[in-house]
Amino acid sequence: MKKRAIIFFLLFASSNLFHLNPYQVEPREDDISLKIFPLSINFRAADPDQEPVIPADSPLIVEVSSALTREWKLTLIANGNLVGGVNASIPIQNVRWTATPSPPFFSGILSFSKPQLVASGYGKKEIIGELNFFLNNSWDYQAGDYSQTLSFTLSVL
Amino acid sequence: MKNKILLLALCLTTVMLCYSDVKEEVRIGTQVESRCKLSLSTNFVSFTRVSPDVESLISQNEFPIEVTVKATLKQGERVYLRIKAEGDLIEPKTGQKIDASNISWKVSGMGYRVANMSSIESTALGVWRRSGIWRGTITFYLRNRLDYAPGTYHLFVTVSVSSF
Repeated sequence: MKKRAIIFFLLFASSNLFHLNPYQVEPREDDISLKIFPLSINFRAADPDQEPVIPADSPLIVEVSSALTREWKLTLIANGNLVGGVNASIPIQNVRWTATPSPPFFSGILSFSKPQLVASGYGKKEIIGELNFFLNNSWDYQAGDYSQTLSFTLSVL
Repeated sequence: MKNKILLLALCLTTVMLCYSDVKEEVRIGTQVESRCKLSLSTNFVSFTRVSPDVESLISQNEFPIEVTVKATLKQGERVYLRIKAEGDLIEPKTGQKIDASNISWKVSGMGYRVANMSSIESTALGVWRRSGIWRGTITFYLRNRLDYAPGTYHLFVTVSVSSF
């Protein structure tokens, strides 16, 4: 009985210390948050000779806020290649981004197999970054409309 | 025993400090338009006639013409490279003619085709079924015949590329 009391006390004390419910691991809304705007970007059609690299029509504004004295990281993974119509795809590695400010934000190349680091930091802070995306243009692409979804994940370590 | 309990409590506390991830999804899209382009390394070739007994087929004096076709195609589309003579070879002073069909060509490069010139209809120089950059060379030849009247003959030909 005494042992159980000790365990319960330790759990209760530590969870209160970190504002956590001992039976729930969901973060409180004000602990960490991720806001991105806009939620859709587009690369216009262009002549590959005149525009070998097409910038997206808008940068992504990324806002990360953490009320925790913990390390955090923001990663990005594509859910697949750019897909358009039947058997038509553009390898997602043809999409890259540049990021400011750097650090804590980082530039990178999209992947659907491994999450790519977009930003990382430590402690209580609120940071805003700008990601500019670019698509490598090519004559090899099949004509059509392509799309894909990107997943941003903010993790507290 | 007391140490074990403390260790267990510490482990549980550590597990509880793992926060859930916060996720956001962004959609990216692009439009790729159907388009094609043609470039030639030169727009002039010439032939120097020799005795038909020596050479029955006269090669152009210049190096082979380098041809580049660039095409972005929809599914099921093809890109066609065509050539058409704007009449026959004409000697402007005398009005003498050499039929355009006496000109033929040899090619190198994937998708390029060999044929004879025609002033009646365009002839396929190349056909491709998928997007890409298609490079090749063309060397024109003039059939040498005894019945050509002396003179300097000229001919314009049109090379075009289209997709459908």
